[in-house]
Amino acid sequence: MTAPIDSPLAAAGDLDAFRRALRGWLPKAIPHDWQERIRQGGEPAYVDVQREWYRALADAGLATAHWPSAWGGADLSLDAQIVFYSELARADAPMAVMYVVALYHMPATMFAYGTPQQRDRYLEGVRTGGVVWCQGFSEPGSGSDLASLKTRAERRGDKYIVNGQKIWSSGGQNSDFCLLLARTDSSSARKQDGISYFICDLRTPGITVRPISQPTTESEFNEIFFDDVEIPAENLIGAEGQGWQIAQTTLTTERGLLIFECVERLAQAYIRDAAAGQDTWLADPIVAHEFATFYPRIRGIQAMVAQLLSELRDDPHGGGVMATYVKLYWGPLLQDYTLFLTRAQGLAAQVFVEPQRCAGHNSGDAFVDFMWSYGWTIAGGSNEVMRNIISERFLGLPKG
Amino acid sequence: MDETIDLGALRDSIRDVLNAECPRELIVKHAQHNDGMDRELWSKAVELGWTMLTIPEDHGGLGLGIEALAVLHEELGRAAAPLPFLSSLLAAKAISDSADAAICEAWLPRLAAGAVASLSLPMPLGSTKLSVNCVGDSLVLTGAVLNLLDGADAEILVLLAKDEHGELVRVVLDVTADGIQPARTTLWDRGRSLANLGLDGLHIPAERAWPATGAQETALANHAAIALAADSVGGQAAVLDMTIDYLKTRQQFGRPIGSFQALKHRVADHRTRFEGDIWLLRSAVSAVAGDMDHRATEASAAKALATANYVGLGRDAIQLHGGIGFTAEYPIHVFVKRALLNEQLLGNQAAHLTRAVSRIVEGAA
Repeated sequence: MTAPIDSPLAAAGDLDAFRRALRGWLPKAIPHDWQERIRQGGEPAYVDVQREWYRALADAGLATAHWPSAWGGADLSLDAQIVFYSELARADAPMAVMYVVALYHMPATMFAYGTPQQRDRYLEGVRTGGVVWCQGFSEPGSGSDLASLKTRAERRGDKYIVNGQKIWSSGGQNSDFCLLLARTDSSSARKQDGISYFICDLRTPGITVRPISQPTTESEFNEIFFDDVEIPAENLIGAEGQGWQIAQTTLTTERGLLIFECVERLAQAYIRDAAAGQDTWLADPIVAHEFATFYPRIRGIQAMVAQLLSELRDDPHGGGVMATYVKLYWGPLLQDYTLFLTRAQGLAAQVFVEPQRCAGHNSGDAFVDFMWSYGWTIAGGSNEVMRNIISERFLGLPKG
Repeated sequence: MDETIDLGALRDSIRDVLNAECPRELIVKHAQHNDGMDRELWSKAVELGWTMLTIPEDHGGLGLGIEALAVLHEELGRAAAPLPFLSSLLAAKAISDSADAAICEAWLPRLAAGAVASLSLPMPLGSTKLSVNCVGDSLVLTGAVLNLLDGADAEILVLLAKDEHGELVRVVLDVTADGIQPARTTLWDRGRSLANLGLDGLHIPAERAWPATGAQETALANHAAIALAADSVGGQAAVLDMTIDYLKTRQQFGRPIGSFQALKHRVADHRTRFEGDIWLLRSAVSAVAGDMDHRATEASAAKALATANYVGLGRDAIQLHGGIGFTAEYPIHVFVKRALLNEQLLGNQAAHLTRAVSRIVEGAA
C-alpha cells in the first residue's frame, strides 16, 4: 500500500527522516489528554482511547506497517520498526495493548497457516476495520501445562461444537474474535497431538465472557465459557491435530519489539524517577545506592534486547534462546524495580490512585506498576517455566 | 587495525594456549604455594606476543584496540590465570596516552617485550598522597602509594602525583634503577597481589613526568572497568561450565542432582543474569571503541554488573558443589576469590555505580 501523504511512513526509507517525521506526527496524532481521560472515565474511556489511537495509527498506515505488502502492510524493516517503537516510548504514546493479538499473533498465524480466504477476511478486518482479537489458550487446569487443555471441539458435519472454559484472555471483554485451542482428539498418544486451532467469533451464541478483577481494581483478563458453541469447519486453521504446532508460531511471533518498547519505557522512567525523587527519597544515601544498582541491570536488559533484535534481523524466526533469557531477565527486573520504587516513596506510594491503563508498566504509579509486574513474571510462561526451559533445554540439565 | 583482526581467531588462540598451559590443576597449585604472578606462564605469554597486543605499532606492539583487550581479559578470566596483564596493559596505556614521543620510546618497547608494570589508579579519579616537586632538572617524589596492583612483581611503575601547583602529573619509575622496593601485600586471590610504596625525596629526571589530564585518567578508568568486566564474564563462563558439569554427573538419591528444580532453577537464574553481563560488556566495548558520549557510564555499569554477578554466582557455585566445593583441591575457590577481588579493584561497587548514574542522578560524581 502507499502511505497517505502526511504519514511518517512516506519517509520510512530513511531512518533519520522517519524518526523526524514521527516526531512531527506523534504529538498531533496521540489522543489528546489520554491519561486524564482514562483516569476519569475508567474502562469505557480506556476502550475509546484505544480505538481512537488505533484509528490514527491505521489511517497513517502505521498500525500494520510491519505486515508484508502482499497483505496490506508496508514491509517496514525491523530497523524502522525499532525507530517507530522508540519514538512511541519517547512520546509517551498510549500502548495499543488492545490490538496486540490482532496486529501480531493473529497475522503471524495466518501468514504461516491460514487459507487464502481466511487471510483475506481476517487480515483485512484488522487493517481497515480495527477488529479486536484475543487469545483463548490457557484453562483453569492448564496453565504452565498448556498441552493438558480439556476444552473439546467435536466435528459435526460442517461444524465443530465447542464446550469448555478458557481463562486469562487479555482484553477478552473488548474482543471480536478469539484464537482458540481446543481438543479434537482425546485418544491421541501424545496429548499435544489431539489439539486443533480455531478462529472463533466471540458473538457466537453459547459464549460468555466474564472479566476477572485484578488486585489493581482493573479487569484486564477474562474467563471465556463455551457452551455448545458452533464454529464453522472453515474456521479451523491448519489441519486437525496440528494446533499445538501452530500455537508455537503464535506464541513466538513477537519476541523482540513489544519487549523492546517496554524496556525503553523503563529506561526513560528511570531517568524520570531520578528527577522526581531528587529532593525526597533519592536524597537518602542508602536509598540512592539501591537506586543506582538498577542502572546496570537496565542497561543490561537493553543490551540483551538489542542483541535479540539483531538476531531477528538476521533470521526473523530465530532468537528463541535469547528471547527466553530476555523474558527471565526482564520480568524480575521490572518487579524488583517497581517494588523498590514503591518502598522508596514511602507512604506516598501507599495512597490509592486510579490505575493509569495502557501506559505500560511504568505509569509512574509505583504501587500499580509493581502489581502489574506479575503480568511479566507469570503470564506467557512463568519464571519457573522459563527456568525449566533454560536449565533443561539450553544447559542440558536432566529433567526432574 | 581492529578492522583487520579476526577477534574470534584471537580468542581461540588465547584459549587454546591457556587450556594447555594454565589448566585448573595449575591454578589450584598456584593458590596453595605461590603469591602473585606465575613467571613461567608469563614468559610463555610474552613469547606469544600477548604483551604487545595494545601497544602502538610504532613502539613494538600490535596496536590493537579495546575489542582485542576485552577478548584477552575474558580468556584470562576464564582460566583465572595468575598473570599481571591488567596492571601491565593499564600502565602501557597510560604511557602511550601521554603522547610524549620520548617517554613512549623509552618505555613502551620494554613493556611490549614483557616487562611487568603497575599503575596507581585511585577512585574517585585524581586523589593521590604522592607529591612531586621540581628541583633543578629533577623531580622529587615524596609520599605514600597504597595498593598498587601487582606492584611487588613489577619492574616499572606509573604513578599519579600532585605538583606544587596542585596539578596532577603521571610519573614513571624504574624499580631497579630507582632503587625502590614496593612492599608486597598477600591477597586471598593468590594470582594477584598488592603493594605499598613509601617515597621520601626520590629524585628522578624531569623527562619522566607528563601532565595527567582528566580525559586521560577517565580513559584509564574505562580501560580498567572493561578489563575487569571482561575478566568477570570469562570467570563466570568457567564457573557455570564447572557447576553445570558437576550437577549433571553427581548422583544422590539415585539420580543426578541437576534434576532437582531447587538446584537447576538457581543455575538458570545465574545463567540469565550472565547474559546481561555479556551484552552490556559488548556495548561498553563499542562505546569506548567508538568514543561515544556514554562510554564512561557504560564501562562502569558493565564493571559493576559483571563483578557483582560474578560474586553472586561464585558464592552459590560453592554451595551447589557441596563439600567438594569447599576444598582447596577443587578449583572453584580460586574463581570465587578472584570474583571478590574484582569487585574491589580499581574502584569498588559504590564508586562504579556512582560513576554509572552520574548522567542521571544529580550530585553523583
